[in-house]
Amino acid sequence: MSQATLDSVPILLEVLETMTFMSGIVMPQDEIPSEIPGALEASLSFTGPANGSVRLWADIELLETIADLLGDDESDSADTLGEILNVVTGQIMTGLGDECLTFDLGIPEVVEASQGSWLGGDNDSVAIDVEGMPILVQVCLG
Amino acid sequence: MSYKILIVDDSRTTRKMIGRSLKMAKIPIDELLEAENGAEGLQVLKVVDIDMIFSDLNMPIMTGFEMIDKIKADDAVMDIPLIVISTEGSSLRIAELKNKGVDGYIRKPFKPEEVRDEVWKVVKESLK
Repeated sequence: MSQATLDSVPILLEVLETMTFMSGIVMPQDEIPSEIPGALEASLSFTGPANGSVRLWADIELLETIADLLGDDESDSADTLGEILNVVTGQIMTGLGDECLTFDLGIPEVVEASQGSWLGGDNDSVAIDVEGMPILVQVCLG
Repeated sequence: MSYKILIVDDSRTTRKMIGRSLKMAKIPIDELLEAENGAEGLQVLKVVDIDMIFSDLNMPIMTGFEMIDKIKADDAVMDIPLIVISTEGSSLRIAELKNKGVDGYIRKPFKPEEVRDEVWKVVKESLK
């Protein structure tokens, strides 16, 4: 598990709390589901004093719940996940160095997740359980 | 007075969050208009007399920085109060925005009260 991914967990929890008033709890690694029906995957890269990328995977049901909480009657789950990723990545970049440093951020890309893409190999994602629905985060630096 | 407010952000989710925050804060709203990027925002400004602009920075097609430069170079719209809502955390970039004439800055993620406080601060400044 990379330190960057571990450091992103409290950031993701705080962003979810502030944006959606929903709280979550980190899931044990051996309880991370290998399949999440209808999961979406979002990725966003950044360049500057440090280069890297952040990926999120989320249960579509969670994203629809968040859209409902935000009062969006024409919910767009891909947009919701992309914006959560955008905010999380902005906070991660701030934690990478002095506040005077400037980074350039890309535009979030959201696709239908291939099942289990968050597991194994270099994919050292951390899963957060938000009211029984998972959202996973992974940060790659360098 | 009630305000015609333009929200420029490529995320529909954020546009709705800003609009909801404005309503929760009891900001008197005449009309809420939305644009997905700087270019669309400039088009709205050509046809509607806007009282206040909220804008993101990182957007496709035309960024908030580019849009702000064009607004501040146009006598017809340069004095419209403009509040940036962005993930940007660099103090240098935020100082650059102030130098460009941006009136307020809110960092994402934001709470409704931050929107309320920034709006009233900007309104008070504009009445001086």
